[in-house]
This record gives sequence, C-alpha cells and structure tokens, in this order.
Amino acid sequence: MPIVSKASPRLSDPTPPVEIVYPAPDHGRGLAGFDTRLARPRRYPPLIASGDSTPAEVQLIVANSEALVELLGLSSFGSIPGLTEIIVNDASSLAGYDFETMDELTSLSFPNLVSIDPDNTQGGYLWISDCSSLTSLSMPVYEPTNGIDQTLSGNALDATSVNAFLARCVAAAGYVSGTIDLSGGTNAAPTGQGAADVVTLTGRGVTVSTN
Amino acid sequence: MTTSKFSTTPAGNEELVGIFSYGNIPGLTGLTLNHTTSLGGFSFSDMTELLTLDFPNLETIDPSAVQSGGLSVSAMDTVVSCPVLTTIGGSLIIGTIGWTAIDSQFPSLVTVGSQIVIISNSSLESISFPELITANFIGLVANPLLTTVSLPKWVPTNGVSVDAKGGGAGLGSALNQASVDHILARCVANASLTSGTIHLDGDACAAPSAQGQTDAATLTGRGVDVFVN
Repeated sequence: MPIVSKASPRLSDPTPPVEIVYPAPDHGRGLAGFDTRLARPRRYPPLIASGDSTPAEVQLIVANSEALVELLGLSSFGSIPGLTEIIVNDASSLAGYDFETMDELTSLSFPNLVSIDPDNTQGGYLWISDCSSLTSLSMPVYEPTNGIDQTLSGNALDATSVNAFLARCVAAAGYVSGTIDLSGGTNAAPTGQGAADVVTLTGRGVTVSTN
Repeated sequence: MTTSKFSTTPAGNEELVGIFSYGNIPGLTGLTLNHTTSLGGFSFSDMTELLTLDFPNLETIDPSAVQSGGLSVSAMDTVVSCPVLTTIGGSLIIGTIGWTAIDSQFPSLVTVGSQIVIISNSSLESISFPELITANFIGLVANPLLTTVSLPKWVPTNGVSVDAKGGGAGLGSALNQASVDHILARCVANASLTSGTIHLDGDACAAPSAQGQTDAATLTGRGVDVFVN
C-alpha cells in the first residue's frame, strides 16, 4: 500500500466546489444553516475518475491500525474538552490533517511526519487554523509536497514555531509552488532567518502570507 | 473523552478526532472503521474506488454535540453500512451519491442533532429512516428522482425545517403525494408543534391529498409555515 498524499478541498477556496451544489435558499431557513464543516468538496477534480481504472484487488483496512492512521485524514472542527496537546505520530499521511477552532489546544506536534500526499494522489492537505491558544507547532522532519497549500492562519503561533515551519519548507528543495498562510490571529511574524526564508520561498514561487 | 493529551497511538484515541479522506487511497476498495463512537466524526468524498464503507460497531457520533461531529459521504458510489448507529450530534450529509435508495444504511438511526442533508443525488428514489425520531432540519435538495420518503417515527419539534424545494427551479425533489402527506401527518401528530417551515413545494413535488391539505391547514393554523403545490 503506497503511502502518499496533496492539496486542500475547502469551501473557502476561490474555486467553487464542483461536485456538490449548495443552493442559496430563497425561503425560510432553507439551507442557510447547512452545516458544511463535514462536507468539504474537493477543489480539484478526482485524479482517478470513476470508471477510469481497472477494478483493484479488494483490500480491506480495519481501524485501530497504524496503517489506517497514515492513510486517512485526521480532523477536528472544535475543541475536544480538556485537550491541550496533540501529538500525531504518523510518518506520512495521505489525506492530511485538518484541525480548526480548537480553542483549548496549545501544542500540536508531528515528530515523525515527513510528508503529506507526496505523490499528489488525492489532495491531501495541511490545515490548522483558528486555534486561538495554539502557540506551539512542531514538525521537525516535515518536507512539504510541491504544490501543497498549507494553512496555519488564525492561530497564536510563537516566532519559534513560525520560523521552524518556514525552515522546513525551505528544506524541501522541491517545494516550489503552493501556499503558506501564517497570517491572522496572533501568529508571530517571522524573525531573523524566518524572514529570510520567506524571501527564499517567495523567490521559488511559493505564496507566503505572514503577520 | 476528557484528556489533556492526545496521541495517535495507542489505538483508541482515534475516537476523539475526525477521520476523512477526500480522494482515493490507491488500491483501497473496502474500509471498515471499528469505532464504537467518535467525537470528530467522518467525512469521505471522491473515493470513487471504494466499494464498501462499514461502521459495524459505530453507535454514536458526538452524542453530546460537543463539536458537531457528523457523517458526510459525497461524490462516491460506495456501499455504506451503519447498522447500529443511533445518534449523530452533528449532521448527516449525503451528496452526489449513486444510490437509488437510502434504507438499509442507517436502520437504527434515532437522533440527528443538527441536520440531515440529502443533496444532489441524481439517482436517489427513496429514503427511509425507520427509527428516526429527532431531526429538526431535513434538506431534500436537488434530488430529481426522489419520490418516496418514510419517517414513521419522526417527531418534529418547534422550529422544524423541511426543505424539498431547494433554492429554486430544478433544485427540489419530486416527492409523491403519499410522501407529501406523510411528512405533513408526522408534523400534525405532534400537537405541540407550533413553529417551523415546511417546504414541500419543489417543482416536481406532488400536491397533497385532501387529508394532506387538511393537515397543511392545521399546521398553518398552529403557526407553522407550510408550502405545498
């Protein structure tokens, strides 16, 4: 089973969703209150369209295995009561990570994570946003896949975390396109080498936003 | 579920976070998730190679509605099975699915805390939630072949919203008269229902029968906004 991953499907992306239509209501409540948090249509069309591939050998994955964790994405769209620290031990991820509005979270680390969707097979992405207490992010061996969009906006990341993340992006020499969003919230501005890394990344073709 | 520190190992912690995939996992055609509960919920989309998605033990998703954890399946034709799922604190969203019926997938579902949204399913003809009692927002939008809805135990409460019209022409469903009548009857059956909005006036929805019209009038008299063809 290849462990591979890529870019993010978000309702907030400028490109409108293609698979699901959310018609604006013209009456009453309609769909105005439609909870979209768990219906995130892909920004990109499926890379393997239905019917394009030969039937694969049935391969069953059962939860509670490390392999499963590294294939599927992990998400949370709100606080988990009492949870202040998350450690994700994956070495790789296919679908990626999406943690948002976890206001109790102060520390998030991926000590072993090397890649997300390295072969761009399914739009794996990194999205950690609007966690108002999140000061520490650690991804010491991470190297982003070229083209991946990485949203870390609206958090409270300290300068160490901001600088370290930018350094990891620079360390991935093949990361020459994509976006890094470290803006918003109380994220620290990059300092020292971090500021230089922004210039490096921008020079490569990566779009970088910081406070 | 209260813990100060989460780690993806040991196993068990995965019941706290949500699980998603928005594309195929190469070679993967069957996925079984053995959770008994989940806080963050599940979201799967565009897994066009996935043939089966089974939750054999899943009983609840965010039952206390801590973070609106729900279940979303879209843009895939996968056979889904949730035989013992009773409670979803957030939403159940089914969109752009190739199914012709929603009947056996959720035989035990009793409560959906937020919304049931069935949207843009071009092949879907019928929906049945045999045990469903609580769900105060039901969206049946852009399902052109959807004629039959069965909610025999459903108890709508004040503020209920049923939308079989969608946002405009061609975005509703095609509920037959029996289903239109059925939804109205379920609303009338709760004598304390005095507010809400019931849109059964999608372009292709049938008009209610005489009894259905009576029920619509009853509901209107109570203060519920009812729209029928």
